[in-house]
Amino acid sequence: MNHMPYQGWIFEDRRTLDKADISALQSHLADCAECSALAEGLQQVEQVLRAQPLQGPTEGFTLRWQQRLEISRQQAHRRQIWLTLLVAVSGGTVLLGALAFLLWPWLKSLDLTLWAALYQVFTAYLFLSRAGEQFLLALVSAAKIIPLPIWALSIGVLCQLGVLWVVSFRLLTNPRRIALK
Amino acid sequence: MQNSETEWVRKAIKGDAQAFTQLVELYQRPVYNLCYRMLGNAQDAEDAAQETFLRAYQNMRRYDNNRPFSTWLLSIAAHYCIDQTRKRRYPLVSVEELVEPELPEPSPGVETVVSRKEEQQRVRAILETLDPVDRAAVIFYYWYDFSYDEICQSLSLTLSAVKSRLHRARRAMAEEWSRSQAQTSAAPNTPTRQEQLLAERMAS
Ligand SMILES: [Zn+2]
Repeated sequence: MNHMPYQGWIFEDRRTLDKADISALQSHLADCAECSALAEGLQQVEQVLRAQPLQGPTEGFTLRWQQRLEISRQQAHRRQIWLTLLVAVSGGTVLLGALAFLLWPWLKSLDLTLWAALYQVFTAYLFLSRAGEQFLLALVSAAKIIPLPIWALSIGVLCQLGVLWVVSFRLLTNPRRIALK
Repeated sequence: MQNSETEWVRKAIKGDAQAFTQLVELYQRPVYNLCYRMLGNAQDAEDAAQETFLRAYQNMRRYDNNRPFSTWLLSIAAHYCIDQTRKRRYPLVSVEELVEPELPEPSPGVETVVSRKEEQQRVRAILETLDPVDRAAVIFYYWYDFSYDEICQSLSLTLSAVKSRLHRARRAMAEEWSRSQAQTSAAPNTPTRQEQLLAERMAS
């Protein structure tokens, strides 16, 4: 016996079959033991499945979920700390590596670099001390040329200017009181 | 209920754990049942249901408000259980559950309880024979009354795929049911798996 379209229809959603198909299927089921056994099996299994109740968890499910959420939050926090540490350490290592690469020529001849730096410091010191000597010489010769009253006057004027600067600076930088009304 | 659910969902999207806890309270049963039917034992079902709620909480920002929250939640559970089933290669029914002493309630009679227990085990065994995705489709269809469209959405399948999977699953279940029925009627005194296991325990 040919069961071909009927065995397809048995497991189809009945609502999708048209009337002709349904009556053809029913007459085939009346004659064919194999197909009718399958149809009956499906009917029984569908009944049993629909009769099964919804299984629920044991008491305290929500409480256990809250505990699990807390644990997961702590784990996420720990992971974040480790990630930050990892990024910082690897970033630092990369920076140090780059710096070493840039400074490699100097690092390779460290003693020469140190001598050069020392030489620069010594030259600067010599230049400053010479400039200081010249300034003192100029001052001494000016003292001989300019008469005493002019010296006293210019020092007095400088003092007045200093006082004026201090007072005006205080006035400018003091916080101002602004009335709210 | 619908209004407060919408409110809880809205708050949970903003990261309110208290509001999400209300959703856990509301949906624990359907989610647990799906996991239980998919995985076949209480321990794995508890674990999967907990994990489902955790994943849902962490992905609340991705939840699309146009879709029912329950469908979205059950979809997460189904995908998780499908993954778990594919990962493991041991049978669904644990020995502990088979020998679990089930005290019969006095009113329906001992035979009724035993047959109900047997029926549950047969349902479990039949679901076990199905491919995990087919099993999820069957559970959605028969336990949750999902439409084909809802099953499509929940399992990320096309309509024709859902139809062909359900077709295949129905056939497999009917054949398996008829086979087990024939075995039971051919040898009515044959001990069940549970009885065999108990007998072995007693003997050792
Ligand atoms: Zn036939």
